[in-house]
Amino acid sequence: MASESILDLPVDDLFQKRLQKLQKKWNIDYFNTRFNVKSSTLIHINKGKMKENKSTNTYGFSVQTFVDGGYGFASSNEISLSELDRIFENSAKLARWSSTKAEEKFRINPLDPIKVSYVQPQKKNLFDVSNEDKIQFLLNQDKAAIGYDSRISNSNSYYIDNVSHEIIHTSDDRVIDKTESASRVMILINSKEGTNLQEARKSKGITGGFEIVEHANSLGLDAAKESIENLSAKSVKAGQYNIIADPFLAGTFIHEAFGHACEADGVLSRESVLSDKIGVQMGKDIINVIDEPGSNGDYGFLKYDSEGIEAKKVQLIENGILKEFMHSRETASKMGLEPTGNGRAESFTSIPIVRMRNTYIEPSDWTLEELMEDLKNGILCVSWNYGYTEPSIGQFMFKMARAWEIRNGEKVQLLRDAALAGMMLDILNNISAIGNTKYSDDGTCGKSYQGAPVSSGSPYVRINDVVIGGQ
Amino acid sequence: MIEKIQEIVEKAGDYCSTFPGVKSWDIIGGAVQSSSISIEKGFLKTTETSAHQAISIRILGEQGKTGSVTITKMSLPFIQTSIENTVSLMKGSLPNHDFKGLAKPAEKYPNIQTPYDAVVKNLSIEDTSDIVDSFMNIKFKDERIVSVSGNFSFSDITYSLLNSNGVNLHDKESSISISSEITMEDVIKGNKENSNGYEGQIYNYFSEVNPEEIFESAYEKARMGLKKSKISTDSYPVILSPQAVVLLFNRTIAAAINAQNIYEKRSFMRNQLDKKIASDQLEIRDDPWLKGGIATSAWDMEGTPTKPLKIIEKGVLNSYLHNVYTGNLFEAASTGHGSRGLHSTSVGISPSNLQIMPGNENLDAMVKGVKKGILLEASYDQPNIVTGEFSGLIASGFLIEDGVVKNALRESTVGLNFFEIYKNIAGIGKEIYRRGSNYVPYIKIKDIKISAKE
Repeated sequence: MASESILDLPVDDLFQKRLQKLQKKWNIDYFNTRFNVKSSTLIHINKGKMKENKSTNTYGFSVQTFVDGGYGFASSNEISLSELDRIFENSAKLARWSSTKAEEKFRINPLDPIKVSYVQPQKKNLFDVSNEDKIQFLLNQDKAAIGYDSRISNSNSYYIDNVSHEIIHTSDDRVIDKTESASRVMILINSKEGTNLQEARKSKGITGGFEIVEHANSLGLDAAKESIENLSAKSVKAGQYNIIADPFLAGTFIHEAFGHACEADGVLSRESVLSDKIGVQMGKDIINVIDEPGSNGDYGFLKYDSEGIEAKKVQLIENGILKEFMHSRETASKMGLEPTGNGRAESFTSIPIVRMRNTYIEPSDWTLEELMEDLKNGILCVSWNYGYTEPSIGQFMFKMARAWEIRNGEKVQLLRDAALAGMMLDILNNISAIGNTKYSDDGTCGKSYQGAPVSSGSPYVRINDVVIGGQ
Repeated sequence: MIEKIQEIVEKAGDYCSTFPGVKSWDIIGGAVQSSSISIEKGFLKTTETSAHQAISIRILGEQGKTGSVTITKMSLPFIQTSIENTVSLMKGSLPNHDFKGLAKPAEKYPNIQTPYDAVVKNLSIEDTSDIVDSFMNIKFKDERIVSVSGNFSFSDITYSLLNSNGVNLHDKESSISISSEITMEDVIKGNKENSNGYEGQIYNYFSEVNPEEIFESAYEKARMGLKKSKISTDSYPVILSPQAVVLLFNRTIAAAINAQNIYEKRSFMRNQLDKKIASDQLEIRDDPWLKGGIATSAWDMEGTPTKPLKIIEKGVLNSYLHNVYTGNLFEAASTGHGSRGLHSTSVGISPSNLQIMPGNENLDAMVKGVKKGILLEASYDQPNIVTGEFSGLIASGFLIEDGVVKNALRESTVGLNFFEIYKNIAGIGKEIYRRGSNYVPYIKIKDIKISAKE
């Protein structure tokens, strides 16, 4: 990574004064400009060999404008006052044209002015760590995995970090100057025995600095062990089962299947099956679901969103009842509510949209042993490889990383290629017991071609009558 | 700006050559001008326009050590400093003896024109008012439509590709994409039922864009999905729609014969070269010279000249797909399938215009021949390229009974092994449909396991 000076942005008071003039000139209801510079590292090692050793430096700004419900957005790689004039004009003209075809003439509710400067703490500053040290850390993970067993046939190990400096100006004089950083390690291990090929993935992401090494130093070995174990897994027999979802799969379910349906943009566009269900009982009163800013270190941690709003806790389900949705400034204005700090954009070139941060099911009172004993026969579903959902009808599917067949409350056979599929409202209703300890996982959530770092979590959860796809 | 980018790319290349220890380098740099609109609830939601540049540089040293950088700030001093940092990255890198070099320029590149529409470069969002209006009118088509969303975007890309071997290529591309998702709601037998229909397409020429066709297809899928039936868990004959064929044949096979996946033992197609892996009926070709093809090009994104390739002929696998790196690994030539974008310094492997050759079956006859079976439209699942297995939710699929397509399937999943379905092809349609850069027919499979909630 280059030196910290690469994060300097040539944005001074002249820009704020120019923005105020431009707002008057183009008669704009609301604007949000984001000036951004971002420095990233990517290291990819394939079985001890360097595949990619890269830095990326992106730079530019965007202007988002609203006029009478019309929405314009324009961006550029060049930061200067003259370019600001040009991009603002592009955005404003688009907003005015859009207003003639917009659904309603709404306005973004103004908020109190603030001026905040925020630098995310890093225990080990990414700029102080040499690229060689980052390579060595990843190489150690890669070597540990390859050396674990002769049946390990391949490894792909990735280290990614980034530091982003962004200055946000809004028309209601909210100025947020924030520097955020994150790092992530991902390990993909393949194993082979005869014609049997299997794989396992492990990843860990944090907000902060190079302290990722404290959280990810057994990742290579863990992935290797799991990949070898998977060689003995059998295909799951498709059918209907009572299951226990582990915290990572249950967390994914609550993020993908339920959380996305609680994003207010989808609610307003009637693309959420929950659009008319505030106050409705979703499941047993043991279910509580939260989306919150999290703590520094959580991969989904957010202090201020891309609209300059301080991130707030959102109680999605309380005692089984649907309570609140997550909001951007736009959705909050349309619904007459306060924004919740969920307006996030992947980069300055992306429009902020409603996204989750740290989403989880709150713990209840069952131990895993009690859940297993009570299940008797069924499947313990473990983590996930990928998944998707259709929020408009509530249908979802998650491909599990692995699963265990449970007989008489004991694990008897490792299973692979299992998929959890169903209707989200049915699954919520069929949650019959929740464990007493929450674990979280991290990932990159995709929506509208934008990725966002998120965390999702849950305790172990028992769900009755679930369709499991397999062979 | 375009001339400036070309000049910057050339100056960056010259600067890379000044460093002792730099054995070779390659650079891709270019400018993208793009605009898009999004539709929500049947109204215009967002409008967006941008003009961006990027330059990506890869530097190779002794023992295959590598360092690379992507920059979007188009200032020569900044780029020079970035190159200096990248040389340092390269020096501290791990060796990779598999890096044997970069693409060499062809003596003569094929005389193939990349599809390019100059209209797109000068198009403004305001010029697309008719398309926006037609999006907004879909909601009046049927009172059961509760939501219409979609996107329309267009972009003009100009790029330069240079390397230290003397590759020095410049090209332009235009692209237009449109997609629509329609949600419908109805009360059927006292129960509220929802259904989604999605359709999307990409084009090179603005005059080819046909929004009505996209909307009609999305609407039909949503309408047909409202009435749902359950099916019992069993094996059934399955007719795959073009969208399902793209997923289970084109995307799966392209990933499985990607030579990097083969080399890393991450593909079920490993050790299958020159072997019969499918029914005699299956022929798959990759044709980068296809006239008017969506991915037609004279060279790949490393500068290797392209050429048509018969991938599967009479069910026999003839070739893997290579870039320069995997070509060296296999002691073979690149097949001209190196791929990357302006922000990418690593070179992937992608097919160009991937075609499944037509059979002689008529779709109606294929359906009429099914007593009880499935028409599989879409699953959003990903194939497991490592194991060669697939299991996933049927996002859109219909019951066929007594030769007639009936209701949508409710909560059903599909599970299959790729070799089994490739060998169990019962018929291939004679009509070819384009889905992006895939050209595919309907394909009938003798039987596939379908599971459903009891």
